[in-house]
Amino acid sequence: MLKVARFADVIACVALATLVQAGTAARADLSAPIRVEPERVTIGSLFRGGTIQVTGPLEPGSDVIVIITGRTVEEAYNRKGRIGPFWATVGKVTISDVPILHLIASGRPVSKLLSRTAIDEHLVDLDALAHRATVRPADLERNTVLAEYLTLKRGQGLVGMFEEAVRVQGSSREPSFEAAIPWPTAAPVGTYQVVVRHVRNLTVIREETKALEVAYVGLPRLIAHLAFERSLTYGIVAVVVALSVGLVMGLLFKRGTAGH
Amino acid sequence: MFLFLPIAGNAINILVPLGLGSLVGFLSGMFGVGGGFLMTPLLMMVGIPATVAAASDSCQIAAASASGSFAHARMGNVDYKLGGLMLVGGIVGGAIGVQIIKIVRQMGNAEFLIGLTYVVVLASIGSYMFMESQRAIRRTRPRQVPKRGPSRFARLLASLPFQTDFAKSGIRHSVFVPFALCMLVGILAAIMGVGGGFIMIPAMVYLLRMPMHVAVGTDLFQIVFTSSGVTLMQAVVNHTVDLVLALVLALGSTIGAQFGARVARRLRGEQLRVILSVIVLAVCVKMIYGLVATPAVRLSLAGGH
Repeated sequence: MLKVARFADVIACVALATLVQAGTAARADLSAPIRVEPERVTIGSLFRGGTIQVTGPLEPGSDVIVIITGRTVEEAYNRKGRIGPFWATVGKVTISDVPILHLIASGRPVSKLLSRTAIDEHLVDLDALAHRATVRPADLERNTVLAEYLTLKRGQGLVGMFEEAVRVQGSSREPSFEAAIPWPTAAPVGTYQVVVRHVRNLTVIREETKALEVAYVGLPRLIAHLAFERSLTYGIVAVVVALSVGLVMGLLFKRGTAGH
Repeated sequence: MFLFLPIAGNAINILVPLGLGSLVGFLSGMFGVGGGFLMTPLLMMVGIPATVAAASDSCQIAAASASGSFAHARMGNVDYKLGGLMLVGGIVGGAIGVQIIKIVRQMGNAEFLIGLTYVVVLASIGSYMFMESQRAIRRTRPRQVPKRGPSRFARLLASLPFQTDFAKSGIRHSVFVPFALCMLVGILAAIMGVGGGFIMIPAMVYLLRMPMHVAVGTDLFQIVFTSSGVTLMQAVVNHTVDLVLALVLALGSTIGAQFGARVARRLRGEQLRVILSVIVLAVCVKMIYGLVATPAVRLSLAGGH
């Protein structure tokens, strides 16, 4: 009887140890860092945008919302209005407290994943962005200006919501996620944050962040550096290169071009 | 294949600038006038910011005019004395034009000014060319022009001080005449991103009474310098010269010009002018539409490109 009891204790200990180990393993998986591919977006001469892949472990029963966001900026815009029959700039408007880029990816509509309060708090839709923005001068029709601002930014691909961009993979016990977010060509160089928000029961339960660097390389880097940092040198180089190309073309075609 | 334009800050399918360069070069070779006045509005239509389009077009014109000027210099068609004088006027005008662009850009109306200038110039040139070529087609026999004395305008030009002989062109004018003419064209060159040949050549032939081939050669010679000067100033003052874009345009236009010149030999001069005037007026109508149509978005980034 005693032997049976000892055997049962051993089994119980082994089972407990297994459970503890499994729990530890599960936590280890969840604490594994998210992966962002590529980690650095390089803009070379043939750059035409791309896709940012974000992958990582997922807690069973939860969802994720992936956001790529840029630094907060203050941007000045020209506001067009009618002058006689023409549309021309009639004033300036400054929009501040908004990120320079904000891309949101989820597996289903964010309104089904988070409460309105949480959406606003974590900037998880475009209304939340508009809500956060400051518009000056204050006497302008705020909603109209922000609607135009978001249309402009969406057109450039600098803000956007992708509600079918996150896929859940793996087994139901150890699921993982993969998000594919289109990266726009108009995104300025700089450092962006990839934020993964784990959500359950309409609230954010956990958050992970990883930096994403965007930089010019090769010819665009050289040209941008010269054009904005050494503009006189750039101007001289542009003229010399243009004249050389013209002369070489003239020699190649012998007849030259008659026009200009 | 896409090409990233670092100054425009966006990517473009390389076939677009190459195709536009070829098209404008084709027209340029076909009609014997520059294509700058078509290139900038076409670039604007494909989404290149107006200030970048105008400045990069100036750079492209420097390449194209260097090629053409080289050919004319070898044929002895360049009046260097007159060209030098025109050059000074063109550079002064270019400097004024660049400053105008800088001021209106700060005010936020650079795109509007460039668009409006194009509408006025294209409408004037297109209408004049269309009517003139229609008259030429209707005319079956050359008219006998009655001999008249010098016009009031010619007498006015002759009365100006500092009259100088320009032996190569076989004309005599005050130094102020080519200077003022080129200063005006220089202002337009900076605002519109054009070489100004479509204004200068008629002015040199009809106002200064220069032989056509010397007018073309001399105009190209001074455009090498004015477009280079405008490019340099745009790069320093406005940071809007996209060298990558300019070189692709130059490549397309140089090749297109060769084919245009071959087609031109099969058509009569007045037929060519009708076609060109229709193209000019079509671009003008598109520009007018752009200025009066309600924009999809009424905001644009201030001072950015």
